[in-house]
Amino acid sequence: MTADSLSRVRVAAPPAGRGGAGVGVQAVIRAAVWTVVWATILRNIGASVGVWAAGSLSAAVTILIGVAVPLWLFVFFPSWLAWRVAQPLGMPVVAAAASWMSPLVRMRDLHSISVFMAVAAGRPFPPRDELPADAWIALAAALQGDGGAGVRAARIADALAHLPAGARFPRLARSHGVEVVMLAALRRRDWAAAARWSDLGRGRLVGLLALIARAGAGSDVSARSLWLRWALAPARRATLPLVRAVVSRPMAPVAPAPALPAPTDAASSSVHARHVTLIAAAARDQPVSTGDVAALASAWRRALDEAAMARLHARALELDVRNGAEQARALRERVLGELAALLSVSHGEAPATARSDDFDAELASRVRQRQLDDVRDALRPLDPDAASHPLEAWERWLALRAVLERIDQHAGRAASAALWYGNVRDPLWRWSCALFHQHGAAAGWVAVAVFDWVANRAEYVGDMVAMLANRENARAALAVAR
Amino acid sequence: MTDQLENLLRAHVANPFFVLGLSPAAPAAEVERQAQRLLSELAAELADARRYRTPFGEYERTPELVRSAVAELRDPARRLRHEWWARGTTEPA
Repeated sequence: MTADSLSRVRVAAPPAGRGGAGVGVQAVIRAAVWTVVWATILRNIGASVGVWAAGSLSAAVTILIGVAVPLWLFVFFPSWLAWRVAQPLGMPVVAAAASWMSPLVRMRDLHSISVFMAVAAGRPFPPRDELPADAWIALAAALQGDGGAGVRAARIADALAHLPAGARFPRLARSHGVEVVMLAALRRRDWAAAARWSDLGRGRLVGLLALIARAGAGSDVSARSLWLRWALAPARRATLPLVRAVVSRPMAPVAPAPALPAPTDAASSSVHARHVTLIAAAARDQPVSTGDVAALASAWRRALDEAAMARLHARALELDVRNGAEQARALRERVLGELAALLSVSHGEAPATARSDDFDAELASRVRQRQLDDVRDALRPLDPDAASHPLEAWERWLALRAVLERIDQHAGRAASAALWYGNVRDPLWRWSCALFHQHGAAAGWVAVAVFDWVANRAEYVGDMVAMLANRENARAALAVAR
Repeated sequence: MTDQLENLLRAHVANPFFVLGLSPAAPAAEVERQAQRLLSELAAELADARRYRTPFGEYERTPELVRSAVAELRDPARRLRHEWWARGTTEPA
């Protein structure tokens, strides 16, 4: 074993995070301020109510005023103020102060929350060098640009839905963060994106938004249950137009991008039109299902049969094109190439095919070659010597993960194992260790996810050495990410 | 990958028959006439000439695109391929 391979097996002891002592002092100051402020408030409430009531209150009312109300004020009021009042009204300073006063917000999340709120308010994403990588920043990245939709956001949602045990996804991020992303998707009437995010969320508002997404997508949701959930959920003013819209008229599925109306009725049944429609969807980062591409490939097999090629030859003769066979082959090659491009970006299991002919074999061969190219392209940015921000590194890893998982779905375990040992294992492992060594605690959250995924992947292909070492690495990263 | 798919889409929607607004069965003389007419209208900055329809939406038409389209259709082999796509895309199976 070389020195290089030894260095990538395990990560060193967790490096100290930047400004660790400073954060500790700030946390102590924060706890002291909480104590002073809330003790003063509690004392004033107790004194005022005690003098006013003069011993006339029952035990229950005393407990309500002396315990329940102050407890709500202390625990829930600051985050309510931040997310239900300050954030919707565009008061970032009040929101930041309220978050600072909330015991539900950890000190390390304050900066990330303010970044998320800024992005939600339409302000630009700050320079990534100054940011930690965590669930809040990931949500902000999903919200940025395409507002929670598109392949990038879908990838982030999927990664957040499959965080390893122990990786933090704060409760407030699950409720307030996911709500903002869902609202952005629903306002664009992107029901599928909203439904995807709802799986990650918690709370009454997320429940209402999930119901709106289901109703908008055409599911059978009664108006009564929608209005009931609306009445029970917070942010009623913001959600009223959405509820009214889905209750008042049946909604169409996801609206296509404005510049791309669906093909005309006459053309919609043609294989050519379906082909271009799927290319258009993929080019616009809209999810394309493997089943749809497989059905298209099957239709192409019929459309490129001998009779169709004979018609093409006849037309070639009319146009005085001498090499009609070559032209037919060129068209078939182009169709196969474009189908391979579509399959390599498609999602979902490949349906089992009953038949296997030259067309299938050639398509499978092209897809394999393309997948290899995709893996190489996704591995290229994972350079252990080039410093990249943890969030950027996370997104690059997500791109590689998406490529490899697609290959799992399309090609199966044997192909994934061959790819793992031949192309992926060493560069990915070296890069993940380098990422953690370079950034320490700032990359802890990302490193936990990456190491855990590498360990799972190693287990999937039977690489026990990599599995055990990366489980250890994940534990080391988790120690600084908590 | 998205860039590559965008290029594929662009190639499909820039089919010369769509750009020129002609049926795939249009004879060569009509192709030439239509190209000249569109170039004149574009030079005169007529709004209708600036956009062309495809089964996948409207796109911008430029003089370069028109010249390129007519050049493509002058080559019989290329015309055969464009015709096959345009016919398949616009006509039901």
